[in-house]
Amino acid sequence: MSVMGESRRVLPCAFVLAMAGLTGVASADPITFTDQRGKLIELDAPAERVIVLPKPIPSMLIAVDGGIDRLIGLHPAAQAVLMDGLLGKLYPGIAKIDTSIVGEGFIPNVEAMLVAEPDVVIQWASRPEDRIDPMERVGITVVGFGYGSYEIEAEQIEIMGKILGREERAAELLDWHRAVREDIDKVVSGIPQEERTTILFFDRFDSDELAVFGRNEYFFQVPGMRNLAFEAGLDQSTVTIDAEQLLEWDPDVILLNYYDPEADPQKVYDDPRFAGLKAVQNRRVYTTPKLDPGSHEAPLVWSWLATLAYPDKFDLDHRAEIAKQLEAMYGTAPDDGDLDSILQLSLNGDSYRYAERFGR
Amino acid sequence: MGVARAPSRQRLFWTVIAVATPLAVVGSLAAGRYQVPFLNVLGILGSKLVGIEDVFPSTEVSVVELVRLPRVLAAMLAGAGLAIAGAALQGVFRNPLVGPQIIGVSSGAGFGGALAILLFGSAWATVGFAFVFGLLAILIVYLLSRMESQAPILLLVLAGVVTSAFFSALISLVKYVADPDNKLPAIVYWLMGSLASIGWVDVLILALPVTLGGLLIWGLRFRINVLSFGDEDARALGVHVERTRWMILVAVALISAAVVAVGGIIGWIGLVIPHFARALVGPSHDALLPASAVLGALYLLLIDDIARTATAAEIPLGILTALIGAPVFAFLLRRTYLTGWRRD
Repeated sequence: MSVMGESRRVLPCAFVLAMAGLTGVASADPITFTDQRGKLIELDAPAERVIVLPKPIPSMLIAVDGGIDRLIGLHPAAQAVLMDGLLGKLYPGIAKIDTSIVGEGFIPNVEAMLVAEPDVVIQWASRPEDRIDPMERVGITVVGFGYGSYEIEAEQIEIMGKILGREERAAELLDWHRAVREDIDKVVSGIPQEERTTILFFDRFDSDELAVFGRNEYFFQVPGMRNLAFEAGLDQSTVTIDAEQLLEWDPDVILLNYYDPEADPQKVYDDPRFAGLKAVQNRRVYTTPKLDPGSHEAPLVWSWLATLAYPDKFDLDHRAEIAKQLEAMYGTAPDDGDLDSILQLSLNGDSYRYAERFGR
Repeated sequence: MGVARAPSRQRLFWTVIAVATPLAVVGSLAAGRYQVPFLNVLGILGSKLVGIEDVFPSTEVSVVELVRLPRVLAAMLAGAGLAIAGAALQGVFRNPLVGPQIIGVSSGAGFGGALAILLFGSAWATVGFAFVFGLLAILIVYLLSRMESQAPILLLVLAGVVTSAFFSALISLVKYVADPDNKLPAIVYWLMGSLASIGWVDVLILALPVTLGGLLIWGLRFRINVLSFGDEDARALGVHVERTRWMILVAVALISAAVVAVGGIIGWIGLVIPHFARALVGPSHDALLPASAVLGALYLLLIDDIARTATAAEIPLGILTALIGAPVFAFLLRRTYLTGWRRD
């Protein structure tokens, strides 16, 4: 009787305990990691509602998560850029995601944040007193992201995997990064420094201003390119130079940033001032593809750049590779029209061997 | 200042200028980041004059003809224009602290240009908008300061300050809404002033209004002299005070808007150079205006040479003119106070 009584009481108890144990596994083993301002972040479970304020990061979330369901807020400028490109086409729902949560200078709108009820807000780590503290004061969990080097960007993919509970997918992406880098390095590392292709990458190339990338960006290092602006001792991210300085440097390849609405190799070819440049005479001026070199998409840019720098040493089928990787990241493969647009076929079509290597 | 000494002093001034100007021009054409041997620079200029082609390496020719020459001319035109404008304004307002920036033209033109970069991003739109808004600023100043059919000087300067502040706020607004990845750096860079991308078209855009405005001011030089005695005296001498003042303002607007349109906001020249010139050739505008023009031209030429040659990166002109202009101005202020302006 007593035994029965015991057991009758024990069974439900055991059930309750077992249930507690199950949930206990989650709560006793919370997700912990250090964000990029050095703060230890603890989450009870993978985040279901994420707000992303830094502009390049929403596409990283989509790539790691394979969809936009958990992205509940983003920067209006990021929304505009995404809607303009492939992701806007694949996920028209991006247009409806909340952008009221952030103002100019990445200053959060805390009340709108509270209405949105995010599990996690991803925010730039710099200027925390304006950008992060107001959110943390009202109890919102903020993950700080830095910028400026490949290591930081790679770690962001890892952190994104932890936030979303998709660490295998994040690891897969990083493995792919490593593999592409090693493949390129096998070819490039054998080329002596003085034979390496020299470049200048113009952030703006228009009638008002010539502004070049001054740093030795990681996406120059991987494909073995020498940034002449960096070698001349510049180290700001973009630096204005005059036409003469460009003539003096005379790089093998000139790259124009696709973010610049005026980027068009034909303008460089047609400019009488630049007629004597090697890059103009050999028609090696290119607008960069619509891929972000400072993100999870970086390996696609590395391969693109390596092929431009050493056209005889690489024979990758870029269109197939880009289609395959973008499908893996975003769930749908881009069609031929998308690929033409991503690879800037209409702008670069007349440049050296471009249509042959990147055309249909 | 002895009246008898003035002519000999002016003769000395113009002799020095006549020697210094060609030297400065050739020196500037020979200086730059791309190495062109000095003799080749002279050769390229000379071969153009006598019509010989294809003697020198084509890149050297395009550096001298398409990069340096337009830039040197633009720097001289802009410097001369701003200095004449400043000298005329200081004369008609009888105020040593007035310059094109004070009366709102620069801010108006600056706003117009910034707005054009934000909306269109085409060079022609930038130039057009800078012109339209520079002239609009002057019109606003005119309407604000006009009372009972005449404009008291103090009210006019205050209206300029107000207009300038208003357009500065609009510039801030444009910067605030501009895309920080793309439009904002272009706007900020343009506003800081630079002649880095000057081509022959820009020289033309600059030359027409600066020449027109400069000639208009030159034509009014004797009336400016009379106006600088004071409105009452000027009226007594039969000068149409209001009309003269507004003709000067329109000329100044024309010049400043052209400079802003082509080179962004280049401060301090209109303020500093006339003081410098006054100390050298005296306050009479028939000597002061041309002296200001050449000094302004040489000064901005020198500043721009530093901007383009000192480092691989361009240094914005606005920074250099202020860094050099402010201390020089402080020094001159003490000196000219003791000589030129201490009359009342």
